[in-house]
Amino acid sequence: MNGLFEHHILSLIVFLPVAAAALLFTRTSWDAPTVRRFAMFVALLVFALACYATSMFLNQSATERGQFHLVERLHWFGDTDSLAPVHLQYHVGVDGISLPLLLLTAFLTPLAIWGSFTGIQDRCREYYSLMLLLHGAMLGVFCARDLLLFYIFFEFTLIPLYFLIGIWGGSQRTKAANMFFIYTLTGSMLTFAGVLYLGWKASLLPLGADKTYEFSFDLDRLYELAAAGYLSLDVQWWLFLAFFAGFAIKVPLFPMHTWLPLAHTEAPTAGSVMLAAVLLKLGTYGFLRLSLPMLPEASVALAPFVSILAIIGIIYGALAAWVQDDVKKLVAYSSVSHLGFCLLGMFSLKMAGLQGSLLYMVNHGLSTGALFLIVGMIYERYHTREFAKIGGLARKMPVMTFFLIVFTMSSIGLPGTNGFISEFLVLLGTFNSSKAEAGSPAGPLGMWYAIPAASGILLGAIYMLHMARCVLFGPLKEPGHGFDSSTGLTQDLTRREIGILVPIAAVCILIGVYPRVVTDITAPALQSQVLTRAHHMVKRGPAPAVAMHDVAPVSNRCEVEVAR
Amino acid sequence: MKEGFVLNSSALMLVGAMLFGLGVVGFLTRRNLIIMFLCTEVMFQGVLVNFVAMGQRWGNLQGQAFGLFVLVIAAVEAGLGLAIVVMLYRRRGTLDAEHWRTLRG
Amino acid sequence: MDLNNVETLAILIPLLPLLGAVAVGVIGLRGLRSNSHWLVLIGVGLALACAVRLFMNINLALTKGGSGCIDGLAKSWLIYGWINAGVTWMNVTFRIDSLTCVMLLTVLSVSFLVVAYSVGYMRDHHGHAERGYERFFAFLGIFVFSMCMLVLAGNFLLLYLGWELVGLSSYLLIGFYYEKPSAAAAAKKAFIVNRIGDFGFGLGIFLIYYTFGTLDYKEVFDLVAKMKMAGGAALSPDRVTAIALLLFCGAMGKSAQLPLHVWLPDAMEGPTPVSALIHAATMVTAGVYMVVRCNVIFSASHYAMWIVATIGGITSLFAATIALTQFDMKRILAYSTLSQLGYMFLGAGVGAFDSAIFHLFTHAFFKALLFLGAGSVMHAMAGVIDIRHFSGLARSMKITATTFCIGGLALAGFPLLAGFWSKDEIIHAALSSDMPWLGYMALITAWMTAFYTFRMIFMAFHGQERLPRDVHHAHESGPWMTAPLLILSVGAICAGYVGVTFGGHGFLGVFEPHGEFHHFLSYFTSGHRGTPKHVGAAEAGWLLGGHRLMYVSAAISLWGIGTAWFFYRRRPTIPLAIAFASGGLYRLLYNKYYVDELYDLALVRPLRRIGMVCYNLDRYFINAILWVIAAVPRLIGIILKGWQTGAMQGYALAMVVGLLVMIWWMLVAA
Repeated sequence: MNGLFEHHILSLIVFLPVAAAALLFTRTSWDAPTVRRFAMFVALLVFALACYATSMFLNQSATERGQFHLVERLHWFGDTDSLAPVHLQYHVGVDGISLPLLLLTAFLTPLAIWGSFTGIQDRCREYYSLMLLLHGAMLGVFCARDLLLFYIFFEFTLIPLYFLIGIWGGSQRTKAANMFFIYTLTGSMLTFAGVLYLGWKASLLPLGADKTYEFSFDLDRLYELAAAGYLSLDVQWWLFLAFFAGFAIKVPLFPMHTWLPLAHTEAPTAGSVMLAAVLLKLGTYGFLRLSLPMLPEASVALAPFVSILAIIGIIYGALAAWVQDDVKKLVAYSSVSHLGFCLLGMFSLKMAGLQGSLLYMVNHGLSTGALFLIVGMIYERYHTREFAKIGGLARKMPVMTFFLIVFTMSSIGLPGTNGFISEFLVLLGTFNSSKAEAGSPAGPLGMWYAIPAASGILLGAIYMLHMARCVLFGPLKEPGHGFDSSTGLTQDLTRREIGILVPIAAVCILIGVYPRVVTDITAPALQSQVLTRAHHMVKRGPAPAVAMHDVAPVSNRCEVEVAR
Repeated sequence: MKEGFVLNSSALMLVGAMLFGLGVVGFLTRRNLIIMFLCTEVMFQGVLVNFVAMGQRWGNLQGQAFGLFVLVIAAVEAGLGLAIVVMLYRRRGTLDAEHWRTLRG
Repeated sequence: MDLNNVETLAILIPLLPLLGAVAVGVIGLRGLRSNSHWLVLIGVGLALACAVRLFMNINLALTKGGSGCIDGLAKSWLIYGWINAGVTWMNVTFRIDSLTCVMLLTVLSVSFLVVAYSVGYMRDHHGHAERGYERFFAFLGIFVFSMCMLVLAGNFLLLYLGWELVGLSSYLLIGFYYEKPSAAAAAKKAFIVNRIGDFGFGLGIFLIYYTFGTLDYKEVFDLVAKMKMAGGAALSPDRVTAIALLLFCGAMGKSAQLPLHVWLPDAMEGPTPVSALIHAATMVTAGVYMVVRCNVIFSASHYAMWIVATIGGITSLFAATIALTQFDMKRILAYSTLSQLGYMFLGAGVGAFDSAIFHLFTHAFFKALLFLGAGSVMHAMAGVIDIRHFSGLARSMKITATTFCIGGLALAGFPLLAGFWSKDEIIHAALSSDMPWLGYMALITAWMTAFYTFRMIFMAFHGQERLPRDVHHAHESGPWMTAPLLILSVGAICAGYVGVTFGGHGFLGVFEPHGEFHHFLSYFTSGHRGTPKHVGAAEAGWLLGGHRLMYVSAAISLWGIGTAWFFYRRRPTIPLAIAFASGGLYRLLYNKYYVDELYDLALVRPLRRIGMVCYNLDRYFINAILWVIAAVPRLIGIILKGWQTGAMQGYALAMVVGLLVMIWWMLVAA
């Protein structure tokens, strides 16, 4: 039993929700409460499995944590023994980078599902099966260790979310769903071109001593390409831009962000939560997992470009958030600002920045996810989110006020909450990026990037407190019809709603006070999976002697060899 | 096989190419749907002969195996295609290809 | 648990109020309600006891010669590893030294009294608790916790944590009456203006880490001292100046110095005990504490010291002029707080760090006393605090009036009271520095201070009894409120004597500056100080000789009080006449130099406009570009659809031709 778990736990985690979704979809006779309970049960089961996987991961010693564990590998098409030139595989595993995000997904999805119990009244069965499908796809992205598999999961997340927005969304749902789908798909197409190109490049790299070649998407092999000198700077540039197209739209980075406010505003609450908490992270995770270690030179060369966009995003998103008259739109724009920090820290190529960036992904998921949940709770009561129509709710909803203040503070990075740790680390990493320290070479950024970015901590306070002031404080203002109790809601939060928010708030404070619950897991992995590769501290492969700047002849030679 | 007449693979390929060419010409010049359909079948067989020739040329059985595979598919496809032609005839009462040009920009 | 152990005590000090606050938060609304204060009162009281114990331990160590403590009086130790920043760790470290002790004692004793006072204040005249009673005490507990963390912090990051958390408590407490739009706006303003300062403070911390590779106080200060010794090349003066000025940005925000002072007067929207505790005695002095804590860094940069002293001096004068014209008791006190904080920065800026802390110490007592007295008046006047609406309260509110008067005298620098000693030291230091004009400015401010304080006292407490419309009779507050007033007034009288020694001749001449207090602090402040500027400076001039300055400032104080008496008791028409005569100037002062309006015009509106532009850019520009991009495939489709004739054989022909072309091309290419 234990062995079975050891070997298949990740597959179980990924495919349990998918199977449950299929099962649920066919159970036409189930009534709504049964459907809800079933979906909730499956999501909790996945969370339990994810916790179990974490405990197995934590059994590894600290040095081992930098590597992948719980690996499972199946060959789809061709395998290492045969002479087939194409090798497609199912390859999953977790390391310290993917584990926190996996846990975040498994942690938030049950809460999001729980949060939809009253909000979603029609077509429950379809709704929850789509949620579970989305759940499985998101978990799959974080487990994948094969680029093609990653891409499949990455794209697959679009489908359930498209329907979630398009069917259960607000008044402009069709437009929002289409825009979201086409926007992100367009970028991903370019990414796919990059994926194929990398696979082809991998086929030029001799496999082992017997000089056989195969078309492979295995991440381990792809990581070797740059280190072995098979990717010239020019090639890396184009590949980086190809990946950038898909990931930057997903993140979203400054000029590519316009799908986000619309999609967020129109999506149902759980959709917004998933979108903000996990789906945006797929972009940043892609940068962290693929762009930085696979294309190190291009990452360094293009870091200023990405960072400037990120900084513009930080300021632009914050200012745009400030002038919104809809709470949900405000929170949506705040995501643009926050994710800018996330990318900035990553491209500092410093341990502090990377730690901060990864922690930022988790923290943004927690606090913004919770903010969306609260906005949804308000919306369910008043059917409006406009500042003009609601205000002074502290009077009537003190418990909601408490939670909103907690997550507001987390979002603006108050020390003691999780937001502070990540913001601090990101800015510290960026600020010190230009400085070489013992065991940590200089990165591409520097203090002149950190200074404008730090204005985000001021602007963040401005728009978030503006929101708190409008929604919570001041004289009570509510639409004429008062709150809607038709779905069994009370004026202030119900037990169920408190039960949703308490775990998130607890984790927010826990990470703020003792961030090592996350950073102890992430640090070794960031070091060995990203930093050493990005800085070329490890050089492997057949052409170790070739210096980085004259790689072009080498790759040409390989192409000639294959052509013969 | 030793004493028997061994077909030159080039000759085989020539036959395949000729079959294919005949099929193409037929497809382009005739307007009767059944004839056009038969022409595509002729092209198919040309390709099939080529497969066998290639198999012989490289000295393995994959070409022949694939040939058998194609035969089966072609048979299935022929049944399907003819059924469609019959349906089309029932609708318009004619087999002239010119009458089915509605799918255009 | 060893209560003699400094480490245990230091951990208990912030923890106890936090526990009290959390307990109130959890069970306050359900179980305790109007008894919620006990938990916080006990928590803060025990923390105070721990602080006293800690002080005794440290004092003992001092007299014995530093047994058990490293580096003279400083002890710094690790609680746990907090943030893994790659190469180094950011730790939770505490540091205990004489400065910490002084701050802890000040903060906790005032906090304790204010918490006790709030028990009476947060109720109506029938003893029923106000709505949000438990919330109020929970917030107070959080504040005390944060302030202790700020003071106990052993590195810059933990200082920043305390720094922001006191900001949070301030935000929550200013917005306590959240239904009042003005309170909600004031809370937001306080937080945001503080964040402007923290923006600089944060960058200062990053720059410290960038320069020294650590954030630990001891390591940073040692490195600065070492580099200063080593000379110019090791540490560029510009870098130190930049660090010091960035840190000072934070101090300007937190201690409401020009031009970031705008939040403090508005913060008076909070309940009065909050104004007394947070916005007068403790939190706003955090900036001064920080500058003194970093005295090594500041004194390494002449330019930074100059800025600190100048900003302090100017704020001091500026705020005093505004206070001259205000009518809201709490606002007058708020501006006087600004002014006194300016004094402290002035003192720090001219190198008299111990005097700055001394003034912080005495100021905490008399300013808290004044605010609590104002609160007592406000409580009796049903929330009215405008001194034009009542007068002659001295008859019915004897304790309040007496204690308020004592506080006022201390603030005005009346001889022998607390404020006199500390303020005098700062003025002396300023006069003997290389910027004596700041000293003269401080003397002018001292006159104004005496004047506006007694203007308020004479208007509110003296003359004919006059009450606001809906108050029938003024009555003294209950014992929960008067007891803290009495205790604080003892403090306002006596707190100054810890800072003087006896000796010499003459009426004031028996007192010599620099008493036990300075001796205790000297281990901290003198270690890295350069040449102490306030001893025998050449520019000293006539004022500095003997005890002349003492007599002069005593005279100035009496002159100010006398003028106020003359204006508001004898000839009440004079102030009106002056106000009329000065016209524009009066309006300028009355409207606080229009700084708020300036901010609105120069910062808030443009930023919002930019935000609007950003949003519209999204909607109309970026989306328009997207539309254009999306139109490209559509356009291509329109062009290409003509080729789609629907003729099967046409397509087939095209395919064949294409095939032939490809074959031809391949043959030719080969």
